[in-house]
Amino acid sequence: MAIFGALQDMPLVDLLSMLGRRSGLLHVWDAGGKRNRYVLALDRGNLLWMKDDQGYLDPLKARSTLLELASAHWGAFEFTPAEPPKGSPLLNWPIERILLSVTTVHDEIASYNGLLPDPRTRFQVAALEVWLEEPLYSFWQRARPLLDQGASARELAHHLNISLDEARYYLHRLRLAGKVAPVRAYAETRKDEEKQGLFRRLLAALRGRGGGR
Amino acid sequence: MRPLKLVVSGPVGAGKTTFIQSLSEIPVVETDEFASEAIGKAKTTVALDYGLLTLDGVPIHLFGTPGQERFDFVWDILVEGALGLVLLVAGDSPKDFPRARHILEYLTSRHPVPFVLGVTRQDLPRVWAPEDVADYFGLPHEQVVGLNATSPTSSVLALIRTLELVTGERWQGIC
Repeated sequence: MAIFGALQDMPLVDLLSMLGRRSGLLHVWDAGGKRNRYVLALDRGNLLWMKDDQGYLDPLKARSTLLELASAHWGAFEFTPAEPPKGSPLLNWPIERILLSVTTVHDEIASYNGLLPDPRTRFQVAALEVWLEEPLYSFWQRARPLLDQGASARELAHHLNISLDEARYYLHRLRLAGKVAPVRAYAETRKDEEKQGLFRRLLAALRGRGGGR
Repeated sequence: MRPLKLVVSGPVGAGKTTFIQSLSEIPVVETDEFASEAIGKAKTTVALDYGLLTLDGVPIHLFGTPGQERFDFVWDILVEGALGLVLLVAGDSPKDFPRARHILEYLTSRHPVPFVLGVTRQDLPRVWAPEDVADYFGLPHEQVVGLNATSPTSSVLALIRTLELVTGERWQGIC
C-alpha cells in the first residue's frame, strides 16, 4: 500500500491532516512547477524536520517552504512510513498548529496586500527590546543583522531565501509592532554648509513674502 | 551649483498640480491626459508637472510627480538630488493614506531628501487634522502641515516648513 498523489488533487493542508498521527517521510517534488524536492519528517502529529536538496531547513525557511507548498497548485507527493524517522528534530512542531499558522499568514498576506510596503523601501531597527511570537520571532532573529544596517523587503527575501511577499508581510507586522521603521535617508547624510547658507537665504526670502510671522 | 528643485508627490487627487500652480511664477507645464481607469476625475498627470519659483534671485524648479502607480518609475528620476519633497495627501480621503505612506516611505528611505507631509483640503468641514495624519504616518507633528493647495500662502507655508527642516532652524509654529 502507498500514499501518493498530486498537490492539485490533494493540497498539502488536506494531506497533512489526513496523515494525522502517522510517522514517516513525506516527499514532495515539482511543487509550483519548481524542481525542488522536499522531505518532511512526521512523527505522531509532529513535524520533526524538513530538508531540501541542500540540507535541513531552519525554522524561517521551513515556514516559508510550507507556505509555498500549501499554496502550490502543482506538484507530486509520496509518503513512506518509518517509525520514527531518523534525522535531527530541528523543528518538532505540532502539525495542527503549524498548519493554522501557515494558513493565517497566507490569508493575511492576501488581505494586507494594499498595505504592504514597496519591495524597495528600506527599514531599520526601531526598538531594541523585542518580545515576539512565531513566526515573527524567527524572521526577526535572521533579519536583525540586516535591519541594523537598513534593508528592504527585496534584500531580505534574497538573503533569507524566503518569498518577497513574506518579507513584505513580516516587515509590515514588525512596523505595526513598533520594532522597525522606514529609513529616512536624509537623516544619514552630512550637511553641506555651503548649501545651508543658500537655504537660509531662501527661507528668509520666503518669510519675507509674508509666509512667516 | 546644480539647479534647485522641489518635488511634489502624492496619490491621485491630492492636489499636486494645484499646489504647483499656486506657487509657480510661470504657467505650469502639465502633461494631463484622460484617465484610462476610474480614479475619481477625468484627467490626470501622466509624466510630470513643471513650474518655476524665484526666491532672492535663485530659481527653484517645481516638479509634480504622476499619482498613478504605473508611473512610479518617474519618482526616482524626479526626486534624485532634490532640495526637498512635499508629499500631499487629501485630508478628506483616508482611503488614500496607505498609498501616500507607501510613496513617502519608498522615496525617503532611498533618497536623502528632506520632506514635509501636506494634508490638503483643510478648508473642508470634514477633514483629518494634520496631527492625526502625522500619527498615522508615524511622523513628528512638526513635519506635517495642513494646507489648502489652492491658496498660495498655504503652499508657501509648506515650502517654509521644508526649508526649516533642511536648515535645521527651529520650527516657528507657523500654521
